[in-house]
Amino acid sequence: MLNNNEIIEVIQKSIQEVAPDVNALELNPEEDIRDDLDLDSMDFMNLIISVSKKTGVKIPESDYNQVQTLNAMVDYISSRI
Amino acid sequence: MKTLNMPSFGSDMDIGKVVEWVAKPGKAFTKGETLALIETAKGLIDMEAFEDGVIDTYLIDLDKEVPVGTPILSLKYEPLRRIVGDGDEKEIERNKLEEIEGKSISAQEAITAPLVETSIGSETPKDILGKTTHRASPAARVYAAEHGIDLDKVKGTGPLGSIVLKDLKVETTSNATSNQKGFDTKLMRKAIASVVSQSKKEIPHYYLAHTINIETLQIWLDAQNNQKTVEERLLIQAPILCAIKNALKKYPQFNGFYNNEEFIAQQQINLGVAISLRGGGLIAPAILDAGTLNPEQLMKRLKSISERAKQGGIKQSEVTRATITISNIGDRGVEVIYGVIFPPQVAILGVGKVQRIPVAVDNKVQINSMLTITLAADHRVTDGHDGAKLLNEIDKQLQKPEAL
Repeated sequence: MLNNNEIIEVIQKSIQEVAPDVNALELNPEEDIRDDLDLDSMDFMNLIISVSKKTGVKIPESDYNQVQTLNAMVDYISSRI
Repeated sequence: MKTLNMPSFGSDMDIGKVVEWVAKPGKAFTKGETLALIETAKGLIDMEAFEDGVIDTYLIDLDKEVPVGTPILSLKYEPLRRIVGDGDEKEIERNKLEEIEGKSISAQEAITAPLVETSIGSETPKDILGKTTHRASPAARVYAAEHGIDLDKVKGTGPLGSIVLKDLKVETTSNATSNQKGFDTKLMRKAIASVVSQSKKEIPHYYLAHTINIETLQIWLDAQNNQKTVEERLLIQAPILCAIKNALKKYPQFNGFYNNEEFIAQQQINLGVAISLRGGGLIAPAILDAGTLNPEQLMKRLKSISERAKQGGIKQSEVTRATITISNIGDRGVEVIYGVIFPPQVAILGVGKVQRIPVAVDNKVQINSMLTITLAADHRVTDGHDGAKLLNEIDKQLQKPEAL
């Protein structure tokens, strides 16, 4: 069972994998991840794939609006893990 | 003695430099194989062999800028069969080649194969002698050149083991700021400036927009994705690209090149996809021979070129052969784009953002998913009437997503 800090680390690691040229540590937890890091839809999909693999939490497309920010993604995953 | 020249990857390219020789003197190469990595304003491009052959010598030094058209390699003209057909040493060489490349593949196969089967390989790339070579993103190469870092000594952590910027920042321990990302943006900006200026100067553009009700497509896509694993999910771009290539088959006057006051339609449909690069810049590599691909196949190819555009590994054929360009600006939250045509192409399609808005359907107001597709086309080749037919055909295709 991952705690919130560990989930944040998992997400940051996934961001680094899909967009190695951005600094995931600089992400504002309340900002839209895509806007803040300049991710396109392909990057965002790869991020969802990576986070899902690492946490075992499946994020259906219909829930993408619930994982738009780092904080929201952490809440989403922690409530389903 | 046959020579190979510094290739042009577009009308905006005047010079290029070889940053790595992949093929070695005296060694055989097959069609589709990468001969050299060439750095240009568009980033790092793999120069491909368009026929089998044998390298004789290199004619220019590494990292030296030369004008397009300058001879860079001389070739021996012996068919591959004869060189590798007899003699143990030659047989071994051939075996080595096959072992590394999997099998001899044509340029087309290399592009159509899944990413792990392309020349990038699933492991660290090796040259035909089995020596490890490095694959690095354009940003990493620029950074390495600026900081005098030997890429051979860096372990890549990017996709498929490629060297990315952060690997080099670790190397240099870091007064480098995290904002230092992207390509040589000045150079790329200059190249984009050159090509759009030429386009606007020479091509009489006309513009059309068509808003399409994609409620049926959206429902179909949601159903498809619900049945798929996360990795297999389709982005909406996949069926849209599929509808576009189907429409282009019916209206080939938008798929081709205008050169020397004459338009020549191309039978092969190579969909150039505009990809914005973080840190600035734009590249539009093509999904080659897209004519027969279904949405799933287009999605795989889109994923592959998108990753390689950002991390390195785009091939020469992919940057030079687009027959039309598609800009998916909707991805950035914008409803409409009126594009600038990439010469010598004659059209660019813009795909806007999907919006949930109230519309009248059967005299009733409903909330539906709507999408605006735009066309900027060359008036020397087609008229607004033709453009309208193209956009209507795309609309028609999107109303029957199951048939795509």
